[in-house]
Amino acid sequence: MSSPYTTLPEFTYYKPKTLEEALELLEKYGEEAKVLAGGVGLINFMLEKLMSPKYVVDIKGIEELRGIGYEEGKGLSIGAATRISEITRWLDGNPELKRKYQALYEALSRIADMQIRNRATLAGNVCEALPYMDSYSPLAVYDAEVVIASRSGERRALITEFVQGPGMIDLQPEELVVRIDVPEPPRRSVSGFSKIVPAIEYSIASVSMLAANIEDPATREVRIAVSAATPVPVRVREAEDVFKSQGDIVELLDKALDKLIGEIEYDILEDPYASAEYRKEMIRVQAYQLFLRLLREYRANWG
Amino acid sequence: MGQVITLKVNGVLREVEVEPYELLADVLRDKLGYKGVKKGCWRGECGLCTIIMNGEAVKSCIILAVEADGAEIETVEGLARNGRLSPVQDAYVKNAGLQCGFCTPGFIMASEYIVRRNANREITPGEVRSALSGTICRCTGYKQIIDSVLEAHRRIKIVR
Repeated sequence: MSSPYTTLPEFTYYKPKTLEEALELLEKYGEEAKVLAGGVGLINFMLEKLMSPKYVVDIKGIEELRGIGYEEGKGLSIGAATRISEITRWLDGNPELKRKYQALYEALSRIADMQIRNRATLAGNVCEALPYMDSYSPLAVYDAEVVIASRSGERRALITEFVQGPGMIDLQPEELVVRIDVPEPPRRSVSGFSKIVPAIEYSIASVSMLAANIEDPATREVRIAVSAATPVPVRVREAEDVFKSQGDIVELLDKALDKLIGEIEYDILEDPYASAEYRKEMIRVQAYQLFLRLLREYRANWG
Repeated sequence: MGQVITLKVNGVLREVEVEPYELLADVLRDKLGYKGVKKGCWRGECGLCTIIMNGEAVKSCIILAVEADGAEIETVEGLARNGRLSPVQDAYVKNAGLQCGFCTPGFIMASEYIVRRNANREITPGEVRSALSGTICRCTGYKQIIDSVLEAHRRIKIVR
């Protein structure tokens, strides 16, 4: 059992009971400390010797970081130590909210596998910052905010700003992500998630969409977020704005799709798993199919 | 600097001294002797180290032993009662849901969890396939495995 990939480096383990205690530890140890929630990311990084923290701070003992709240008009609030499967089960028990947050529900139900979903957290998924994290495009479509605490107070960052690049997030060593806030979606809206996962286990292109008031150009709102094909999650406003025009909705969709792959302000990833050209095509195909699905669902729900 | 943790494994309280860097799968196998916990990939992918911890199926190779302090753990060793196989184990035998057998404890624990969680509802072959997507068999006997889970589920439902 001495192979380097099977053993962890030595470290000191802390399991604080309060947020204050956790923040004190992070301030004291700074770069030498890492936060442990589900551990799916951290323990793998440590096994691969990509990270060797001297101190590991387990946040699962902090009661206020657990669980999910919802306030009408404000939205969902998901504690940083809440497991992925807890979130999907909670939404299963609240069909009205499951419908409101359908894109998030679809993405979370398909993250990794059953055993990992029973352990991993949404906040951990967000902090891992690898381009293919499944939570990114749905969180971007709802304008979700990451809530960050430190000894000097609390601040918030939009998901699209929090994730800065592969492996890079807007988080200082003394800071801790305490929850993810997912605002109330617009009234009369539908949303959905789609991803392409080839034989490798990672998504190469993921699209989330939300559509509200489709029948009325004056109040219609369409939101489109792309991740996995891009280094960071992206909201493609130029494509969203196309839907504010008058005209046949399917023709608008065609115009929006041209904008969608033409106007993304970030590079499309290119690696041995998929070329940039293929990823672009997969964004287009998924956005097309997803929008037609949302159109059907909108008509069934609100039409 | 070791720490003594308490685990309830298959109904039996066990105390064991562990270092923070020790993984739960290693402690269960090497310190407590539950050799049914297999390690195939050492990184949370193959699912052979699957145990049921506090009622949830999890992969014990990416959990620190110290994180499990106070937990209730089930391993494959705890399923048979008085020499009688559990319905899931029995269904695997009847359907030949195994070939070399190395992945079988992981599959049995994942299947046990699937059957329990869905005891009050119908379950489709597609749902079983997707629930087992994190457990890997390299002899590729998946059809028999899925048949085993569906049969165990049918039997458990009939009992209710």
